[in-house]
Amino acid sequence: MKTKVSLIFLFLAFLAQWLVPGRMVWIHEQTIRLGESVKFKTASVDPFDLFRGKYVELGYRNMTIETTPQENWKPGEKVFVLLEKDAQGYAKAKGLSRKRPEGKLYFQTILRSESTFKGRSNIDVDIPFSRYYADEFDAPLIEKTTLNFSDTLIYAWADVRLYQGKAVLNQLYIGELTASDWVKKHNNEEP
Amino acid sequence: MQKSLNKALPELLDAGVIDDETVARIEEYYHSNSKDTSSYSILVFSVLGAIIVGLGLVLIIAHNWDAFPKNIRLLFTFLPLLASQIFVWIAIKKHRYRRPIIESSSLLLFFAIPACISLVSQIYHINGQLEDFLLLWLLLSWPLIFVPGANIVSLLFVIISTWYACQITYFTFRGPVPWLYWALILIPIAKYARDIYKDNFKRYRAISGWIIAISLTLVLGGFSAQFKSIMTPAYLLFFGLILILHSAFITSQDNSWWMNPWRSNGKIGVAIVALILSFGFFWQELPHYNSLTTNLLNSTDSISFITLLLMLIVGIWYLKRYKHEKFLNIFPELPAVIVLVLIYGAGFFMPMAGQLLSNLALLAMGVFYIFFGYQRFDLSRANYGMVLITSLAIARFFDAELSFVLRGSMFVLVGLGFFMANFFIIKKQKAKG
Repeated sequence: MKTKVSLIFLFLAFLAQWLVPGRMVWIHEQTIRLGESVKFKTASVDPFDLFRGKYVELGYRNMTIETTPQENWKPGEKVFVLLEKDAQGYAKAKGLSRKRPEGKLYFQTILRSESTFKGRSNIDVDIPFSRYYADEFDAPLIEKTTLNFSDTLIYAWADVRLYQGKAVLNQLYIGELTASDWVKKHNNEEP
Repeated sequence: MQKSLNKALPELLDAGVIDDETVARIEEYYHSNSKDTSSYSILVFSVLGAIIVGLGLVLIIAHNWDAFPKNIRLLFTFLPLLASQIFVWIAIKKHRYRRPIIESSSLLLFFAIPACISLVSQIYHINGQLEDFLLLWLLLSWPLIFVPGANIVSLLFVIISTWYACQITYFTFRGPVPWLYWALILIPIAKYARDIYKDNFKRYRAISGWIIAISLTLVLGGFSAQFKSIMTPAYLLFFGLILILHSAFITSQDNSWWMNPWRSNGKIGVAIVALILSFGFFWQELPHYNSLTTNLLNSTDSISFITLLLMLIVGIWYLKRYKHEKFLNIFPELPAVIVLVLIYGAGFFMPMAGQLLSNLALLAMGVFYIFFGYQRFDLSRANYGMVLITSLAIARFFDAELSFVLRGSMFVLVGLGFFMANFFIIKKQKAKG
């Protein structure tokens, strides 16, 4: 009897060990399949995650939100970032909301910092799609490229899928090519 | 004998003649008494093999393999998890009396869980904090401590829990207090307590005890927020408490310091804190609070101190009431804890007196051990007393404004004391027969 109880307990543990990563896959796959595709212009650095490997830390342009101090935003607060597209089709932050907004162009995150200058509040938020995991040999080159190209005609940009407040980085592009294709092309062209 | 045992035990268990705990005790008995060390070697190499495989999984993650399409990567992500789970299941169903298989299968699964989560995070470029990842790892792997009851997983669980708590509190700027750590650490402590009660797995118990005691010692400091100076007496209370817990609940035929981790931690901890208190710089840098503020009373520092104080009082009462014969085991540390906490309180108003009394308290502990060792022909206790006094002498060498001649004379006296104490105790032992 005790052995049966142990086995049931173990089975439930195994189930949980599948459900947690399984749910992560499901949510992200759903966001990629059903989400609105939005382009974000990037800038980056190149750190290392002990458990997940080499990644490029992506910074994004136009993601600081300007509000009034009366709205009383606090660091650590859960917020919804409202987005709009500029003339070139790239997303930029246009405001914050404490409640889930209408439409599709928004994502949920945590408010990181708030600073006041000349009567206006400048808000920075945690960007949930700021990491792009790449091959350990490609990551430094991608980082260098996205940093260098941020002010030229060739933009590095991220294809992010937005769905019900969730934001998933689908792919990083340098110009028209994916980052990994661009690296392959760059390596082939090197003498 | 091993083969017939492996055949007989399942039959007896199925027939209801013996229960699971009896099976574990029989197995442990034969393993610990066996002169054949091959089973222990197999266990060690099995565990090492499992660790290396686990590290290999982590290296694969770190390599960032994006050569495969996403579906294939997902397949490889979940494959180690599935394989490890099958291995554990088979180990329980078919080889539950073979410790190497139980331990190595559980260890593989323990590493497959974070590998799976890490790979999914990598594939979908998921952000996340290290502490959240560690917490998820712990929450998904804790059942392995009880079913199939892997000792090595229990040890690693304590280490990862400690890492989680330290990550939150020490490695994050103005990090929060790791309250969840207490819920996590209770899991391996529950297994440890059960093993003591059923007298199982003696070899692992000593290691478990050390790792848990060190974990608690490291993390306790993380509960200090604004009023760090309150943590010093809180640590004294903590070391006194673990001494009481050792005396009350642990009976060991082996009296060595290694096989009694709680007692050793308690004694060494009290001695170290007493030594720190003997330094002048400690009292000079002590902040002075003019009044008891609401902030002080509500702080985690005060909560930690008051909780430990209450637990200590209950522990002393329990020991005196129900385990009176073991009450003397907590001397001289427990009186030293009480005295040092009082000295600490007094030292807030009279720092010089606090320093002097701390020195006298440590000296008294040393003298007590020497005298106690001499009375009981116990060389280890006498030498420990000498070590305490020597540590005090060395500490004063560095900060006391004494001439070199005087310092040198002190050392000569202490050294002579060492020789004479050992000489008289050995002489007394020989005379006794």
